[in-house]
Amino acid sequence: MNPIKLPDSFKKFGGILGKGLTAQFAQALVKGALVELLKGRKVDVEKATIWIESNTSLWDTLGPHGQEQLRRAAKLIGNVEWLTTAFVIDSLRKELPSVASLFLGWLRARHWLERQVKQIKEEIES
Amino acid sequence: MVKKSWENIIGDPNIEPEDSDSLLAQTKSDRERKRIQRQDEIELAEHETRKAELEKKKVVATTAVEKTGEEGNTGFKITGGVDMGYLDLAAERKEAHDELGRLKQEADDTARATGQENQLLRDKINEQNIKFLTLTFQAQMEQLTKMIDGNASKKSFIEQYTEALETATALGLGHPSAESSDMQTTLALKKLDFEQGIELKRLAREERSEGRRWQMELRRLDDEREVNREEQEYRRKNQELFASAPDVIGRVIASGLMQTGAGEATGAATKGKITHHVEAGMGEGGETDCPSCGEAVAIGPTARIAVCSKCNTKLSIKRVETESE
Repeated sequence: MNPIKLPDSFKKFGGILGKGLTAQFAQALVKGALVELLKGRKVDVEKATIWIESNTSLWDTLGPHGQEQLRRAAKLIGNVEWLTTAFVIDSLRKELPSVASLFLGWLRARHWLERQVKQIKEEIES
Repeated sequence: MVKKSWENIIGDPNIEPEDSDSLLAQTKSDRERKRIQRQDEIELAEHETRKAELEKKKVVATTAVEKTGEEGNTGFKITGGVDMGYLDLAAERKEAHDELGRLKQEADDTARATGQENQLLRDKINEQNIKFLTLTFQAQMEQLTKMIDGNASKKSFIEQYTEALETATALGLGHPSAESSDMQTTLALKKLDFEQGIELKRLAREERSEGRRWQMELRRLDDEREVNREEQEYRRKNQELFASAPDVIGRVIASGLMQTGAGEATGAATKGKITHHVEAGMGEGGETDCPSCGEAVAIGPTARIAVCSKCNTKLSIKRVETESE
């Protein structure tokens, strides 16, 4: 998993922003991280379809190292209630439009994504 | 028996001579021996004589001493004493101490009297000086008043100086004229001119130094002003940064909310009107182009509709049986 890089425009607020305010920026951060993660794994419609049909767990594919990194990132972010299926689809809309389209039009894909989001939220909050 | 030195020289006298030479030698030896014996006897006699003389002198000297009565008990004895009187050291010391105190007191009195006298004289001198200065000042003031009254101030400084110099010369206080000056005076004037030149140079040097110091001070003040200006600029930027922070934060939050709203709208878009249709095989998935925007649209293997993620255009998927099936 690639490390999350804060935009320069955010760095100047590093000293004055608390944990709660940082959570407001966390959506943008997670959005970028998610896109980079999927792009790095060369995820396309075909690969996503395979994951959906085989009900692959995204959390398990992260591996122990990636899971630990995600947990640490979640601790820094704080509240992750905003992490929903719609948020993931919106995150993919610009960079991976076909994959986003898959989740928009295919009900099974949406259900799979909901399960993944739920599992990830449970894991990082545990 | 030990032989004497001369017996060693002349040999043994009792030996038998063997020939005439030996006899002659023996004779010479005997004669020599006798001569030496006589010499010894003379020396012994002289020694005895000297010894007797010394004995005689000793006896004479001993007799003379006995006559003076200074040696041994002569039978005379001198007795008596001298009265040295009573010596009181404490009293002597006290008297010396008193004398010393008296002398000190006298010296102090003398010094005090002298100091008072000096002070009086000094006061008189100061008083005279003050009177002199006061009179001089009054005279100068009167002269100035007269000059002002008589519009005499039109004279230049040089003219006034010349007049003052002439007056001082007339009073015997001015510089002696060049005609009457001797070599010593000329030298003194030269020395004064030289000292004046040195003083002028020193003043010029001090003026330059002061100018440089002033320039440095100005430069330092400029630097301080520049630093203050930069500090103010830095503070202003900080204030602007802090002032803009809520704005930036608000925009980010609004952006997030808008994007979240878009996500919610995404769900609604799936319920919109279907205007396009696409055919796909049973269980076939893949991608097609959006008829509205040309963006890639994914088709799930079992999906009934496909939605464009860019323009939310919905495509109805019509499943058809392929030839292989």
